[in-house]
Amino acid sequence: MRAHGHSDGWSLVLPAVLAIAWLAFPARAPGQDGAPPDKATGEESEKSEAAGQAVSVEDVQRMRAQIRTLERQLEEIRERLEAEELEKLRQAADTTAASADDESESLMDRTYITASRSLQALNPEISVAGDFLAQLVVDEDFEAFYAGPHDRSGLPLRALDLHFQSTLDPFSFTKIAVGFDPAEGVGIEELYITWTGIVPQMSFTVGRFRQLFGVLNRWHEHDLDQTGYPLASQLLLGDEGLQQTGLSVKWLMPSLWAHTNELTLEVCDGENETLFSGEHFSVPTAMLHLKSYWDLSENTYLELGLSGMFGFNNRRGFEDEDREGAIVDEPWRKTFVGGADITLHWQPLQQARYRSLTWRSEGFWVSKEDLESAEYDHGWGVYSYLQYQLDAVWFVGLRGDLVEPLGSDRLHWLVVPYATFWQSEFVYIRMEFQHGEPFADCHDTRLLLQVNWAAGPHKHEKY
Amino acid sequence: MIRACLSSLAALLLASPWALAAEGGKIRVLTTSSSYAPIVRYIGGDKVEVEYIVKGYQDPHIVRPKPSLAVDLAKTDLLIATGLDLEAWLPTLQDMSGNPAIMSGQKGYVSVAAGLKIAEKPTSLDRSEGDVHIFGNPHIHTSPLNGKVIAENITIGLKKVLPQHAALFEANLKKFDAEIDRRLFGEQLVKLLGGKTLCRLAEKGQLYAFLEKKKFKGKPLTDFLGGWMKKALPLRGKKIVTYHKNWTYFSQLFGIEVVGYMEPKPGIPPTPGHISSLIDRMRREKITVVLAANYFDIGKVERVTEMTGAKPVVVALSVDGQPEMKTFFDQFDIWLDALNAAFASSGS
Repeated sequence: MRAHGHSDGWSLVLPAVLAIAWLAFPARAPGQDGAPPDKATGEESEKSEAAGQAVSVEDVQRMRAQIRTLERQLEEIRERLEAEELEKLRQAADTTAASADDESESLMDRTYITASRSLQALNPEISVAGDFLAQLVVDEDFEAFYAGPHDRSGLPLRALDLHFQSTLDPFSFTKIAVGFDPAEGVGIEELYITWTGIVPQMSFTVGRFRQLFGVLNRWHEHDLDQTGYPLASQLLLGDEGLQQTGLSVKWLMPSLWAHTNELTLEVCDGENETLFSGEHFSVPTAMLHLKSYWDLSENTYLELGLSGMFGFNNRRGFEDEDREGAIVDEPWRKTFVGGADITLHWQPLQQARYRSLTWRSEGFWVSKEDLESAEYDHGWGVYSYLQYQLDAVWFVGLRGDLVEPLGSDRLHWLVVPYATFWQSEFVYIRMEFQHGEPFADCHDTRLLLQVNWAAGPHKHEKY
Repeated sequence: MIRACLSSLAALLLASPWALAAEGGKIRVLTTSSSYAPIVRYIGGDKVEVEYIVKGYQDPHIVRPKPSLAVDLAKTDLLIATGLDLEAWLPTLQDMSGNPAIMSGQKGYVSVAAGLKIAEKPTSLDRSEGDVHIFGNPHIHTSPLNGKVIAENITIGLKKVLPQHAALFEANLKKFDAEIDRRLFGEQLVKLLGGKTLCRLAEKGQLYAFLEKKKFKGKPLTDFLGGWMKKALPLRGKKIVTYHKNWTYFSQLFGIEVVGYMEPKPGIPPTPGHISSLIDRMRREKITVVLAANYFDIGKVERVTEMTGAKPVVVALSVDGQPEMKTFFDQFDIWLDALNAAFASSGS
């Protein structure tokens, strides 16, 4: 226990140094180091001799041995002192480092709380999305502010969407999207469970989902780059697109001809009223989608897709409302749907926050056997849009639509320039202009303002 | 016919290039951040093939979960991720890959932030504070002290996947830790006080004060300091502005005071009003350096520095983000040198 380590230590060293000096000085014999004695040392030698040969050779050797011993001791003391000093430093460092850990808690102050009643952390991720769409519609002659009885100028709240998402167990997760539409009420947009990692490179989905027919059909309306689905999608696949109940198998194939190939097989009920039997389905539809993907460079990718779908559009197996006790059993009528899509996307990695360019096009072809005549009606449609990101928040784009719907030989078209302001990942405001002939005998021009927002963990994701 | 189709399907699956991942005794490791990759190489040596997803000059918040990345994950034996909410795009890729080995909770998945003391954990979650990270600041690789924990987690992951090489990984981890100590504090000080103690002092922000207070052999301990801590001595207490909260761990360790951000809130692009008040503050408080990662809008940084007379320091946030930033250690040399040069040329 040294209260003053430094002074105590060096107080031992000092006398030792003096002792060595005292012993060393008289013991040094001139010339013994091999150097010739100079005049002064010669005089000293004479003095020593005059002292009556007081220091013998043995004395000198003895004193030298003592010097060596003392030097060793001095070195030991020095090393010991350094070690002691270092040890103290280390202790001080440890104490200082540990000082912030000294928040001691009295054990008696501890309160025991069960975690069993606080399992909210296991709740699904819940997000809410709101969509407001104001539109100013004018007719061909710019006289009426409507384009039909249900398509008027106004400031409607378009939808409220609830999204739930959760991992179920180590093998599967679920996603649920419920839409509240002021005009159409509540609808289950999606409700499915997906297994990933059961079979390598494959995933399995069961439930109701937006089908992977092309690109945009898979997206929710609020994720689109424009205010709504393209005309080709609306008129050929139905207002809500292909959104049916069934199962899906997705396979991340070997690369083969592209950097990535993905094959999806979906077998679903034919709930779609535009293409199949609607609510009176009885035979499932089958869809196959192949997506090939190339990284053209670090900043650019190209994606090509081919989709094909087959189903029946006749009604079978339910009670006929017109004939009591009879069961509807219409003759088999087939529907074929084909699609091709292309996406070219450029986004410089270093400026990903500020610049991007997307060109996306899709084409659809539908062939549907008529219930009465058993002849095929054909329809086709395409859209194409180009979107450029000006900076961190502004995107501008232009989309063109061209469609010949089923049962019509007239072309419908629409031109859609738009600008989107991304306030944040959770809020965007979009201004859109539409001009064309979107529906039969309806030539209109409209200006739209969309405000979309999402609360919760569900962001607006672009892929 | 059906049997033939199934046989073809099975053959295709087996023939897929990622069906046998660990060829030649090596495993494929994929890291999210480019800064984790050199640590994996250091620890794993010739037992690993390492690639990363996010380039050093890329914003780690903004990554498209592209199909080609899903293929990379499908081929991976060990996925090294931050594990916080920085990489919100990663679960989509994991699902797309269909690789059961690298799912969260499996031995092929490592969260390198595990065991770290995470800074800036929000006390209340509110989006009015911008795009807040709900688990705290995820830019953990900006501190060499965190590098030790990252390396330890990587070692655990490697040992789980390749247990037969556990001794090698442990030995390399020790070497890595020793190199961090030596590069951070200098060889002399590490010999005197030991890396562990020094790291604890540094972690608590008490290293400089301790070294200034204590002496050894009659000399102040700061005379024995070397490495990055010595290099950062001129930066202590200096005030800077950064673009985003990228540098929290770095500034805390080296005693640099970040007094403002170009972003009004995390993830929210600079607004004219915010920039105007930031410029006023910089002039008032004589702040002479703006530090930004090179994936941000450099034009905005330059406009602010031109108007205030401050020096812009634009550097890569992660490894390989600029040509000379090749290793985890290079990051700190480059950041410290750039800041020292900026302060020296600004005369402050």
